[in-house]
Amino acid sequence: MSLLELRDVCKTFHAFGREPVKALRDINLTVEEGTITGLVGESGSGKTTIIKSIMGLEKPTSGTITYDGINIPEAKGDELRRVRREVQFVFQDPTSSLNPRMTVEKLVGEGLLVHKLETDRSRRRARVADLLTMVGLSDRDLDRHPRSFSGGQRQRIAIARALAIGPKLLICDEPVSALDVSVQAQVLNLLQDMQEELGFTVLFIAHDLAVVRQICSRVAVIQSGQIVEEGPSETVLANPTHPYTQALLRAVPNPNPTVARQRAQERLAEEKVA
Amino acid sequence: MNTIMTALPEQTDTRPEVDALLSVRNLTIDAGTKPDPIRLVQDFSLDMFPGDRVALVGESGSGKSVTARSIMRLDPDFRLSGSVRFQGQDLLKLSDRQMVRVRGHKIGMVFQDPMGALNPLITIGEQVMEPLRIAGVSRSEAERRAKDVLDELGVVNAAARMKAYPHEFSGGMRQRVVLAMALISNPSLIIADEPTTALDVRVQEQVLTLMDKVSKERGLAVLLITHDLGTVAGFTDRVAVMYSGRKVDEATVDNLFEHPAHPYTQGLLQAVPRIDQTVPRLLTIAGAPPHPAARPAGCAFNPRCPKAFDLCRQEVPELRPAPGGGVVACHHYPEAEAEAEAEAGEEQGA
Ligand SMILES: Nc1ncnc2c1ncn2[C@@H]1O[C@H](COP(=O)(O)OP(=O)(O)OP(=O)(O)O)[C@@H](O)[C@H]1O
Ligand SMILES: Nc1ncnc2c1ncn2[C@@H]1O[C@H](COP(=O)(O)OP(=O)(O)OP(=O)(O)O)[C@@H](O)[C@H]1O
Ligand code: SF4
Ligand SMILES: [Mg+2]
Ligand SMILES: [Mg+2]
Repeated sequence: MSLLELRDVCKTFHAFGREPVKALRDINLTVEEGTITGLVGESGSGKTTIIKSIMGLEKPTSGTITYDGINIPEAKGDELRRVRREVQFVFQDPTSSLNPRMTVEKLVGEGLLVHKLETDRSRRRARVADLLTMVGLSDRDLDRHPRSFSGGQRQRIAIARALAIGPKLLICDEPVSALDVSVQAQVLNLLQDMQEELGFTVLFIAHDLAVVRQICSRVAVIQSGQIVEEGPSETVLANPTHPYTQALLRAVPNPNPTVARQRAQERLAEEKVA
Repeated sequence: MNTIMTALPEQTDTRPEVDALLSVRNLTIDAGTKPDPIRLVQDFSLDMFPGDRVALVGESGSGKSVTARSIMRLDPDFRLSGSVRFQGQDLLKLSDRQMVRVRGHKIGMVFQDPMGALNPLITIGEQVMEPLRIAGVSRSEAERRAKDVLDELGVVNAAARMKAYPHEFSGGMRQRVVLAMALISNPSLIIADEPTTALDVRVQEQVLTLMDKVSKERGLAVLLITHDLGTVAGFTDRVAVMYSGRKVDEATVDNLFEHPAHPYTQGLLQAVPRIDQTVPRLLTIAGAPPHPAARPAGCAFNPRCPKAFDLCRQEVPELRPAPGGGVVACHHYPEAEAEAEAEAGEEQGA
């Protein structure tokens, strides 16, 4: 069953004195319930515009965005509250997405309070402590401020914050791009484990195809506002059919010196021809 | 660990030190004020020969940028000791004025954020020419050379585009401009700190290919700082790994990837997701690197190391010859055994 569906979504930005920018052109994207679906594309391809449209921050020029039967751009009242509660976000930069003046307890517990899921302060503190343990932190971290954590730990806090209110859909915009490989692996494993344990659905935006291959069951490739290829990630990444996907794949650095040097040779030869 | 069994020939370096282009010895970097100075980097040594391409890798905060910046003496607040010999001259002993003539002239620099390196109010052409103009080269000559180097870096229609401003260029084009600024004085060494990290993979690949081409054609040595091991594999000959302010591992690129000696290097390599295979779970290195002001006693990696034993919590391991060639700082490789292995390796290789 699909949990999130974008149908023929277009978004054109008009700025005074400039050519209009067609950021999204007829986007069709389905996120099946209980899966981790990847969305990959280069800078400026429209990934964040898709997310902002799902968040209701940008109104599509045309097309529909349906979450569990609710048309997001038109949602009001109870429906809007349901979307706000059930759809949560994790962003690339945990430093700017976490208010530095709030303690970890406040940050992670905020959703529980706002959505009146846990209004009792000590019970809320206990819930937050559980969440912290779940993401590999501890109750000793409750009263600390985000600044005193490492980048990877901050991303764990952001994930705990998003998971606190039991979302059905988690949307991650480049959640590991700013992290070291070692920490990236920890956060990816955490996401994978949480998803298996709690069964929520994930839309995972990334530019690293190797990361997508590792955790996504399906992947959609976006180029200049258009989805150019979509399918099970094993298939798409093993046998890409679209030239753009092929080009992206060829550019992924391979941590095998023999293969990587051969690629470098080929590129030098191409460079000479060009 | 099977590296001991499969000792490889090939020493990292058998070339005499006098021929080195850059020879860093026991570079130690302190920041902060006197009562509580913070040791950012301790006893960092590295040799680079003409045309060498060396990568400096390690997690965020391991000291890569601080080391690179200190080689160029870019941070007047740091206290530096040790020596940084470049073309036979100790850069740490030069006056500030003499240093200006090295920086950007004999050693080129490229940093991660091309926008930060460029002045938004000055045309591309002026900025590329600047190092030459400072050196007293005539305007027409500087213009000609700026056009040539932009051509060399694949900036089409270079003459016209020299009149453009940085914001009119894409990220990849800007990084080419920064590279042109670094190359225009014909340096023999370039220090590139995460030059492609902020770029998309395809642009990343283009910029790396250009660096590859230029460095081969010019016989240019490159010190490439990155945390991306994939980038390292295709571009460099040798890799130095830093952890918490120290170099802990150094090997040829092939040895490093095939037989990583240091447990930290092994951990880093295992944590990289691969485009050509999936594993049920990525292997991770538990925990995070320590703050420079709160390093654990002994080996700084010991709280995260799956192979740690008592000695690791007491003594800092020295760099020693590694079984497969190169050097490694780890108590796991006993001194005598490592040296015997290294010798055996040499004989095999001879
Ligand atoms: N508010 C806006 N006004 C005008 N153009 C915009 C606006 N927001 C985005 N765009 C344009 O829409 C296109 C898509 O941008 P978007 O931010 O969605 O890309 P992205 O895939 O998220 O890129 P990145 O990987 O850099 O984050 C770009 O050309 C961008 O310049
Ligand atoms: N001016 C400074 N004063 C005090 N400490 C500093 C200063 N600059 C850097 N540091 C500290 O020195 C350590 C090494 O920093 P450095 O920037 O060299 O790391 P890096 O290896 O380049 O990491 P990254 O991959 O994040 O760029 C860090 O702990 C950092 O916080
Ligand atoms: S010295 Fe000990 S703790 Fe350090 S890397 Fe070697 S085995 Fe691990
Ligand atoms: Mg974006
Ligand atoms: Mg750095």
